[in-house]
Amino acid sequence: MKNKSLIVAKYEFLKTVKRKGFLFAALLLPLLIMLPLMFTMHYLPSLIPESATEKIGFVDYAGFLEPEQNFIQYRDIEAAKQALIDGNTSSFFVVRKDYFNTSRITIYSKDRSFFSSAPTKTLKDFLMKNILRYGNVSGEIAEKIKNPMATEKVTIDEQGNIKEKKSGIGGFLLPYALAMLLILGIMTSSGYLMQGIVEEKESRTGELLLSSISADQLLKGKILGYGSVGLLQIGIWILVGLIMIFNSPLAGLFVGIEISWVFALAILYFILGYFLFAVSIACAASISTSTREAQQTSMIFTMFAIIPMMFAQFIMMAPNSIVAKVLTYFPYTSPFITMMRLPLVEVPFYEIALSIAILIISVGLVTKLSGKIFRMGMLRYGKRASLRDIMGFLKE
Amino acid sequence: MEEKVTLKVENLTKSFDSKKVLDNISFCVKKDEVFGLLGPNGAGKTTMIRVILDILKPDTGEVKVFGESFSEKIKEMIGYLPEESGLYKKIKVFDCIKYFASLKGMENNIDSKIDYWLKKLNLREYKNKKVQELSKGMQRQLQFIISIIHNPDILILDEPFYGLDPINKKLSKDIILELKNKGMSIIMSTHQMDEVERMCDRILMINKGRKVLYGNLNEIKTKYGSSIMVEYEGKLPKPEGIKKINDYGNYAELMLERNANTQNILKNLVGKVELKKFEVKTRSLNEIFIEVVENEK
Repeated sequence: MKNKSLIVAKYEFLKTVKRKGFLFAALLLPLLIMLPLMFTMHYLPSLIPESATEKIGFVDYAGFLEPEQNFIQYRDIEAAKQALIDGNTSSFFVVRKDYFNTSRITIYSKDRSFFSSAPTKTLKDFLMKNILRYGNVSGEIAEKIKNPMATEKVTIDEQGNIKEKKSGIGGFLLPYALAMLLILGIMTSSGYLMQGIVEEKESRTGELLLSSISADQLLKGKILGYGSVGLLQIGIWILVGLIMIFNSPLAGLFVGIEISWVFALAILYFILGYFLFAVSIACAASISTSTREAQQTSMIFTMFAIIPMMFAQFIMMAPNSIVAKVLTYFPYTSPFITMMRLPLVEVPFYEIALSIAILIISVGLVTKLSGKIFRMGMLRYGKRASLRDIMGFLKE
Repeated sequence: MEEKVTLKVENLTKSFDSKKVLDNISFCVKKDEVFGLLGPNGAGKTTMIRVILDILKPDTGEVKVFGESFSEKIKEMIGYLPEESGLYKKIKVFDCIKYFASLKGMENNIDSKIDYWLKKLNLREYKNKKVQELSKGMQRQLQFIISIIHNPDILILDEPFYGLDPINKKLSKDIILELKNKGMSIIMSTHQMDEVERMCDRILMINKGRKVLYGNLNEIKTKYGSSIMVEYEGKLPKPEGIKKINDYGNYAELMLERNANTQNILKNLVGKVELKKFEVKTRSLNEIFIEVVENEK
């Protein structure tokens, strides 16, 4: 005898992946985001002609600056102004006579827009180079002053052993990106699940289904089917992302990162987190009569997914704070918060294990309660179930 | 004839909140019979069907199929045609039947069986059309195919002729009788009393969750006595031996008292009204239904 949950899962999976909406979200969306990014990183610098590079004028009353290809010297402010008006420069700056005491310079440009003023970093580099030359600092030393460190962070335990090696921004970005993917994947899968259930309620297919399969089997099948859709979607996004990243200058950021355990944890958290959200949202959908009503009812669970985004900045600043720890244990936020904390601190093993244990227990409890509500909700047409009705469903 | 019982319902009680929807109901359904499940709106018929299908659990009592309590295997032995539309609208007719057939445990010859039934119900040309492209009557026929595709032992039909034109209604009726003759137990819930009279062997009537009529249809009709159907012109009197008259203007049904003499009644009417038709017959199920329900009020 075939497992009926698998029949439902296969049906829901194939139905969803054939939808235009899914094809757009899973394939076209990452391409639409990544392709322009790739194009910008790869080709834009070479497409800008040398002549188009901005020329900046300057008037030097302190007498230590030397003109360069893109830095043109003018004898006084009037001459610099005229060159700016004529379009020979994009902006100019004036170095006062007392510059070495005050460090003050004045930048002139044609309009007040943010982008039209002289690029600060270019200007800083130009000034630093001239100051170092003025102070007779050798080229090699000057380079060291400009870039004094290339960091590598090593953490040791109480015995002095190296615990962990994290390299650069890539080590931070990857788990953070995975946390974001988890939120997106879980919310889109749950969204498809909600839509599927509401459609069945609207077409009143529920009763016919429940005459062939138990409510628990039906719920499991749906969750499995839409969960597979979510995993496929995340998989495609990761694959497209990796192909794009490793063919771009960003690849260097990710060299040497141990990612296998992060991925394993991410998949585990995805599965558990998705189950929890899916069962809760399926329950909300089954007691609603339309997509709109279902969205309103499931808002409470959607809010839980937004909490980590709201706290993201705080978690980054204080990844070991009590708030971060509480949210690590709270089942509706733990998948995202744990993934956010991982790159920032050494999250103790017991914290991860406890958060996973709480998640598993929560999934079991919510599934048991939701199974009853789902069965009765699917048979109810035309009217949203009240809290009293739901209590009645639970007694069934 | 105990060996012929396919479905046995014993002392079934079901309440929602504090309201009793089914109150200690017992009955059985036999092999190769059409069993009528009757009752006014809100009587508890749908709840009864849902309990039989194990969609709802009873508070007390039990349902046994072939002497066994409910299991997944038993679920596959029952076919169900719900009253409400219950189809996926955006998928193809073939895929829709196949999905439900798989859920009923069918693994072999699904495609050929789908072809057979589509042909039999004149839907073959719609095989690859989307369900939403079918008319309401065709969708009803499609649901009918879904209920019988796995050749169940028990078939539950809730308003099976709803939305069907006379040709398709006859076609469905013929198939139901054909399935009955092949040994299927058919439970038919409907408000169309004329169809029940024509097709059902036995009936159960429930009202306000309680069993009010149960047994062989002919025996029930005999028990409720005869009536006289008259077509007339003039002012109809109430002759001796008549307990109630349902007067429709040009014709009337006269309910007879027990041991009433029909010849005397005819004599009493002649000369007082212009009689066009005078027919003594057993009472219609429709009349019995109305009488039973009104007496319960």
